[in-house]
Amino acid sequence: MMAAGRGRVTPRPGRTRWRRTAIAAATAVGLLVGWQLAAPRMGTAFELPTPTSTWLALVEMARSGELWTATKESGLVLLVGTVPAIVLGIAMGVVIGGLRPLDVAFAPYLYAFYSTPFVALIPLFLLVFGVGFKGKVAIVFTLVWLPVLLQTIAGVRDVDPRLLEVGRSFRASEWRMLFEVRLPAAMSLIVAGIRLAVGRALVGVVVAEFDTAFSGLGAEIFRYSQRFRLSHALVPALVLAATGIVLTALLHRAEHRLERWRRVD
Amino acid sequence: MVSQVAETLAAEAEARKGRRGFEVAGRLSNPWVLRLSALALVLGAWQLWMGGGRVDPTFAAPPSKVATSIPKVVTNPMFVESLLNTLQLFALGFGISLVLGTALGLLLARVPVLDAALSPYVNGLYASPLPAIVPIITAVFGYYLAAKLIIVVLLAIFPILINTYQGARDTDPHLLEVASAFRASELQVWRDVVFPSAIPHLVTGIRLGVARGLIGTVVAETYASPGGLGYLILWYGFRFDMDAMLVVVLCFTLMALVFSGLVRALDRWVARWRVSE
Repeated sequence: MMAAGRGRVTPRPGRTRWRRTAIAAATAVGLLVGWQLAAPRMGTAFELPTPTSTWLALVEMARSGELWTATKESGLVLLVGTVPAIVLGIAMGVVIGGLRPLDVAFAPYLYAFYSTPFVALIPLFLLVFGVGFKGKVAIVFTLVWLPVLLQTIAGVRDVDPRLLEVGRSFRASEWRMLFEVRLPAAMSLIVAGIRLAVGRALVGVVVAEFDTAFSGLGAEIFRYSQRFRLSHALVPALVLAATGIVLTALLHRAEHRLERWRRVD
Repeated sequence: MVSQVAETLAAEAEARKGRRGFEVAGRLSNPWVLRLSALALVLGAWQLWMGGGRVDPTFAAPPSKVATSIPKVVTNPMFVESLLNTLQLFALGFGISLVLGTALGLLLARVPVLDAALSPYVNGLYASPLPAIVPIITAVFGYYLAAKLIIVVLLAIFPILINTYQGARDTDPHLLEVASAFRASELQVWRDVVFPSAIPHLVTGIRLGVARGLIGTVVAETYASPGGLGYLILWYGFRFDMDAMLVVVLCFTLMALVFSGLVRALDRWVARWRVSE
C-alpha cells in the first residue's frame, strides 16, 4: 500500500489489464460459488435462488417463449417512447438553448420537474394515459425527453466562445453556426443526456409494469416474486440489467468519441 | 459650426433613443418577468388541456383544482405521519449510503486488489435498473424497514461510492510522495491526504445520491412496504383523486429542491474551506 507513495513503477499496461481481468473473473467465480453454497443454508421458508436454479429458470423461460414475449413488450415500449422523445428533446433544446430569454424563462421549471422523483408520477401517468401500452410509452417519453432537452440546452448554450468567434470571422450565418458549430459541439453532452435518459427509462418501464402487473419484464418479476418463485423472478431482472449495462457502455463510448468536437485545441 | 451642433444633437437623440430602447428591453429581459410569464404560459396550457374537457374529468387535474386541494391534503391526518415516515426512511437510507459509500470508495481507490476485484461489478450495478429487484427484495426480507432501507441504499450508494473513488484516485501524487517521505502511516495518509482531496468529488456523489435516494424512497414506499408519502400517492390514486395525488408529488418536488439547495450550500462551504486551506 505504501508503495503508492514512493515512485511507483508503472507495470506494462497490457499486463495490468490481464491481471485485473483475472482478478475480476476470480471474484465472479468466488461470488457465484459462495452464493450457490450459502443460499440453501439461509433457513428461509421458501427457496432462495441459486446460480444453478436461476440458470434452469432462464432455460425454461427461454424455451417456453415467455421471456421473449416479455422482452419484446418492454423493448417495444422503450423504442416507441425513446426515439420521438430524443428527436423532440433535441429540437426544443436547440431553440431554447439558442434563445437566451427562453432559457432564462423556462429553466427553473424544467429543473424543478427534473428534480421530482419521477417514480412518484408513474401512478398518475397510468391513470391519465391508461395502464396499457399507451401509458407506459407516455412514461418513457417523458422520462427521456427531459434529460435530453436539458443537456441539449446546456450544450448549445455553453459552446466554447472561441469556436463561435472563428465561425463569425468566416461570416458564417446563424443557421450554419447552429448546424456546423453549436450542434456538433453539443453532441457529447446530448449523448450523455441520452445515456441518463435510457437508465431512467428502463426504471420507468419496470416500475410501470409492477403497477399494471399485466405484461412485460417488470410484470414477470412482480408475478413470480408474489409466488416466491424467485429464480424465475431474477431472470427478467438480469435481462434488464444486461440491457442497462450494454446500452450505458455503448453510449459512454460514443460520448468519448464526440468529446473532441467540444475542444478547441 | 451649425452642422456640427446638429450632428451633436442628432447623436444625443440617437443615444437617448438607444437608451430608451435598452430600458424597455431591460424590463423585458428581467429574469423574473420572463419566468413569471413562462409560469403563466405553462399553467394556462395545462389548465386548457386538463380542464377543457379534452381529458376525462375523472382523471383531469388542472392547476386550479390542484391548488384548491392543498389544504385538504395537508390536513389529512395521514399526511404528517406519512411525511415523517418518508423523511425518516430517506435520512436513514441516505446516512447508511453516505458512510458505506465513502468508506468503500476510499478502500477501492487505495487497495488495488479490491479495485480489480470489485470495480467492474460496482459499475455494472450502477448501470442496472436496480428497482427491478424490488419485488424480490420484498419477498425475501418481508414488509419491514430492512427491506425498504436496502432499496434506498442500493440506489443511493453507488454514485457516492464511485465519486469518492474517482476523487481519491485523483489525489495529487506529489502529496502522496511527501506523505510517504515523512513516513506517514496508512491511516494518516487516508485522513490527511486522500480523504480531503476526495471531498469535492464526494459532494458531487452526494448530489446524485440524494436524487437517487429519493427515487429509492418512493419506490420502497409504493412497491415494497406501503407507507409514507409514496403510499399516500397510491391512496389518493385508489380514490381517483388526481389533484390530491399531484399535491403529494409536489411535496416530493419540494423536498428534492430543498435537499439540492442544502447540497449546493455544502458545495460552497467546501469550496471556501479549500481555498482558505
